[in-house]
This record gives sequence, structure tokens and C-alpha cells, in this order.
Amino acid sequence: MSRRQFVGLAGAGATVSLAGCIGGSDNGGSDSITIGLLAFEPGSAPQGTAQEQAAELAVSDLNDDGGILGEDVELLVSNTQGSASTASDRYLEFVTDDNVDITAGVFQTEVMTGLMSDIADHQTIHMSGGHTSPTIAEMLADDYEQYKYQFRPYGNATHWIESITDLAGHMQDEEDWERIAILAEEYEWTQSFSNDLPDMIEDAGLEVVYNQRYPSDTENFTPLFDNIESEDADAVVMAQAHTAGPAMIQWREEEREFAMCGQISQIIDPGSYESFDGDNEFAISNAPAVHTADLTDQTADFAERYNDEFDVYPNDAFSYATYDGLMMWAEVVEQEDTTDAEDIVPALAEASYEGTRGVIEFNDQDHEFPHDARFGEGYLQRINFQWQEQDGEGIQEVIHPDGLATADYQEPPWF
Amino acid sequence: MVDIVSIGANTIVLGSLYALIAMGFTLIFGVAGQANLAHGGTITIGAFTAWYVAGLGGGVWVGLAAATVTGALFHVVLYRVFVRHIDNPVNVLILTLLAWFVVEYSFLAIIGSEPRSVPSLLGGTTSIAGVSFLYNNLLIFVLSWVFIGALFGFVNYTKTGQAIIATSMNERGAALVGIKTDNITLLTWALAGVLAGSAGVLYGSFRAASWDMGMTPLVLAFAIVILGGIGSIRGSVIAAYIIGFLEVFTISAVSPRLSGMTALLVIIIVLLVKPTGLYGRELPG
Repeated sequence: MSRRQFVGLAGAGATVSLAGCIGGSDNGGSDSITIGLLAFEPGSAPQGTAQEQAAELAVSDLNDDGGILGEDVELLVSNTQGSASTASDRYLEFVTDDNVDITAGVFQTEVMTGLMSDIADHQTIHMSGGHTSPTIAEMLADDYEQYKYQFRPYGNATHWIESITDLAGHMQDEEDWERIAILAEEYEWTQSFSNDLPDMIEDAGLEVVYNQRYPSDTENFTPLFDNIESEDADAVVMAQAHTAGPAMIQWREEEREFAMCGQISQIIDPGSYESFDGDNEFAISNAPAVHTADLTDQTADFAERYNDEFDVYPNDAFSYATYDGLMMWAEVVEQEDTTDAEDIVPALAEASYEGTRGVIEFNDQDHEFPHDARFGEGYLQRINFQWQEQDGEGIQEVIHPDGLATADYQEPPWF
Repeated sequence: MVDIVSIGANTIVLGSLYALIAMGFTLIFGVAGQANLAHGGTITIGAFTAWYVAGLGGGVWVGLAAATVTGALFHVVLYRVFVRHIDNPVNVLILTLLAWFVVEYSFLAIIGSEPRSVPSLLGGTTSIAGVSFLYNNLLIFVLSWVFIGALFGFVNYTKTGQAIIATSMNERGAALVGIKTDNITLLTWALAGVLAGSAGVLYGSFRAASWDMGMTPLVLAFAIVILGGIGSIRGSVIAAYIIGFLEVFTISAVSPRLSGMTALLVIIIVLLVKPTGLYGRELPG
């Protein structure tokens, strides 16, 4: 490293340190409400792009409605690049330089885990928008006072596996599924798929015949699929956020004789049918919502307005929960007449808000998962959809639960 | 349950694909003594060329032909504009690494981070000796061997091929007998581009095309070249099947978690035990 490079880096470090000293989370004196969104590769990755779009729509709606507390709402977006250290740097810029009133977003649990101490230090509310491991809520359960500023308006992966177990039971009745395989990408959020889901499926009366974790850079699924077929599995439950491309291609091209379901984040993206060239037809995924599901009166309206604005339908919790979370926070701020986190945290914890997917209420601090949204009747619920083709177009049809189903399950023609 | 027949069948297909991936890399390494890290970028260019052409209605076979052209063009430009002016192999390494990053991040900016499906060249399945094969995978096997055979024939039975061998053995000696070594090196780069571009199409139809798809093939190419012996086409082909078998066997019978390590372990073991590889020779000084 040259002397000039060293001096440049040292100067940048000193600037950041100084900013940290003179900054603060108090927004006094500002004439606008500022939201800082931490998104994963916005404009490039579908997850971060969806978070950015949803936040833009929320800000637009809020400003159309007169802003918050009579002030305009401003959105700042930073790219986490999927890195805990980058996310931490961007977060510190938000709370010290930009004096944001709330932060939102973050996709990966590994990134969020590192950010939790920053959020605790700066005591600014963070409305999460994508990470799904129970470990984040468990941090609140262990030390509520420190971590109470984080809220997750879409719950955690334990609700995914409950819904997937229900689907397996449903398919046992409808399609004679008996033998289930599980394949999980090696990420924190998939731990419950490998550790808890097998027992839940067995309790539902099915048999788990294969349970394997694999690295997130896996491209060759053929040997894994060979193993699953040799176990005569009726379906594989996938827990994956990064490897759906090769998995879908190899499942379909190799005409594997087992159904594919689970939490397959990339195929929840409504644009995935086009980018995967239809290879995800017949694949099933769990999701918080899709635009065809009438979860509440607002679901379709939100999805269509989103589509009008961005020419794509909302994508997973990245869209639905980011929008809901910000709108819910705004409603509570109006009720409390302040953005002060010490007033807003208890108010949010007690609030009830009907969003695009159902009623959002947060678990209290004595719960196993504090500040995760409640699931069940009267609250949020998960759906299982299947990619089906109609008139040459891919469509996400809800096949489970029955009350929300928009179509029957379609068996792949090669079975 | 581990199925030996499936492992064997998968190894045949995978080894053929890996041979095609590695041959262009070994060709440049053997002839010019240059490690072309942009090889991964060329594979990405090939895959997305076919994806674009197929998406525009040209069909994936036209896409395959186009990918050989774009792969060769990329290599020719890279060599003529940059590499030929650099004598130090380390600087070539750095430059080609940079070129690879430029390619990757260009695709990230243009296409995004979602993987794209390159259509199969042939649809359907067949059964050979009781083992089910996709036509597309059989085609990968056949096309790889067509390219391998054509390269082998070209290098061994044409005057230009003999000039390539001479240049690979001793560049100064080849120049003394009238061989225009700069043109031969350029031709080598272009041939490697054709091989890598077509490998990208087959790789994309087998797995998926994505902006960062070049990393795995590059690591594989390194491992294959080191195991097979630097500059040996025959060594690369045999090594490709060994690496393919190790990958399939590790995923099937040991743990998917270790699959990425097999190629790296092979590199370490070969460098420790037999640095010249299976059929290699020491690089000319």
C-alpha cells in the first residue's frame, strides 16, 4: 500500500469516527421524516429491488396522504452488498450522518445478526424486511431491553415449516404423498428445516426418508436428486434462497419423479418464470402472499398498484412486509405524535394493523419470538402456490390452504 | 443409498463437460505459458450469448454458433489489445483477472443477479443399458468429444498445429525456424475462446447461466490442468473425468459440503506428489 493510499484510508476512517462522535439519533430540527433502507443489491438482486420498490411505494403513499406528523417523508437507500461489515457502515451513516427516524430492510440473517448490536447502540427502530431465522427473535427473548428496537412484520421460518407441514398433510390426502425428502441450503434460516421439520412431518403421519444440507454454491444437483429418487421420495422440500436456478433446470430437464416444494425464495419472485424460461413450472413454494391470493381486501389492490408502478408484481416479504412495516410504523407515529423510539417501541408492540397480508400484531416480550408478527386465525397466514402455465404465461396459483386456493395442484406430465 | 451406475453415468457427462471447459485453458497455458483467468469470463460470455440469441428467437443452436464467435472475439481483443504487450506472466495473470471482473460485473449490471436458463440443445430422454440419459447430456458428451477430436486432429495433423506444438515447446526456437509465434499465440487464444464459449453454452444448459458462473469452471480448469499436466490435451481430458468422478462421488456418497474441496485437494496433492501432473512437462524457461 502506498503512503497516499494509507493517508487516504486513515482520513476516511477519521471522518467516519468523527461523524460517529457528533451524530445522534435525535431528529430534532429536521423538517422531514427520513427512512433509511438497507437493501441487498437494489436494482440488481430481486430481493433488494423489491425492498426498494416497496419502500418507494410506501413513501409515495404516505406523502400523498400528507406525510407523517405534517412533514414530508424522505427515503434513503443503501446497498448492504450482502456483507455484515458493509451493512454496519451504511447503518452508521444513516443514524449518525442522516439522522434517520427509522431503518428498514436487510435480507440475510447473517447480516442482520451483526447489525443487531448497532441497532441496540443507536436505539433507532428497525423494521425488518427479509431475514427469516428465529435467531434474531431469540436475541430479543434473551435481552429484550437491548434489542427491543427491532420488529419483524412477517415472523420467522418456523411459520414456514408449519405451513409446509400442513401442505404435506394435504398432499398426503390428495396425491398420496407418503415419503418426503428435505434439501436445505447451508444458511442460518434453514436450520429449522433440517432440525425441526422432520419431526413435524413425521407427526403429521408422513415419513422423512432423506435429509441433507448442501453449500450455497452447489450447482450440480444430479447426484442429490439421484439419492432422493433412490429413496423413492414423493416430494422434496427445498429450503433455498440462492440455488433455485440449477435445481429447477435439473429437476425438470432430468424429469425427476418427485414433486418439488418448500421455501424456494427465488421462485416466489413473480419475474422468475421468465428468467427461468419456465423451468419452475409445477414447482411449489411457500410464501407470505402472491398477487393472486386474496388474503385481505388490500392484497389485490396493493399488488395491482405495485404492478402499475414497477411493471412487476410484489415479491415475497421483501415487498409485502417492507410496505406493511413502514405503513404500520407511520400509523403508530401519528397516533403517538412522536418519532421518539422510546415511545414508539411500546406502542408498536401493542399495535394492531391490517396490512396487505392480514392483521399484524407482534409477539410480546415474554414470547419465544418477541416482536415477530403473530400467525394464525385473525393474524397472518402463509400460502403454498404452484407455478402453472395458462395461455403461455406463468402464473402463481395458490393450491393451499383450501380457503385461499385459486387452482388445483397440477402433476408434472412426466410423472 | 449410493447408486454406482448413476455415479458412472453422471461422471461420463460431467467429465466431458469439464474436459471442454479445461481445454482452452490448458491450450493457452501450454503454448504461451499464460494463465488466463478471464477464461471464466469467456464461459459466461458464451452462456449469455446463447441465452440472448435463443431469447431473440434465433434458437439455441444458432446461439451455440454465436457463442463460439463471441468467445473467440473476446479472446482476440483481449490478446491483441492487452496481453501481447505484456511479457511478465504475473502481469498477464493480473490483467486477465481484471478482465474477468469487468465481464462479470458488466453482466451483473445488465442482467442482474438472477440465474437464467439456457435452453437445452436437445429435449427428451433415452435409456442405454438400463441407465436413463437426457439427450442434452448425451449431446454434451458427443459435442465435447467432437471438439476434443477436432482440436487433437488440428494440433497433431496440420502444419499450423505443428507450429502450435513447436511454439509450446520453445518459443524462441520456433521463431528461429520461421514460425510467426505471435500469430500462433493469437490463434491459440482464439481457439481457446471458441472452446470456452461453447463450454459456456453447454454449462449453462446443464446448470444455469449467471453473472458469477465463471468461478467454478475456472477452479475446475486449474485443477484439471494441474492434474493432467500443463500443456497436455490428453492429460486434461483424463483429468477432467477424474475430477468429474470425484465431484459426483463426493456429493453422492460422502457429503455435498465437501464437493467444492475435491478440486482444491487434488491441486494440493498433485503439487506435492507429482508437480508435472499426469502427462505434463516442465514449462520452458
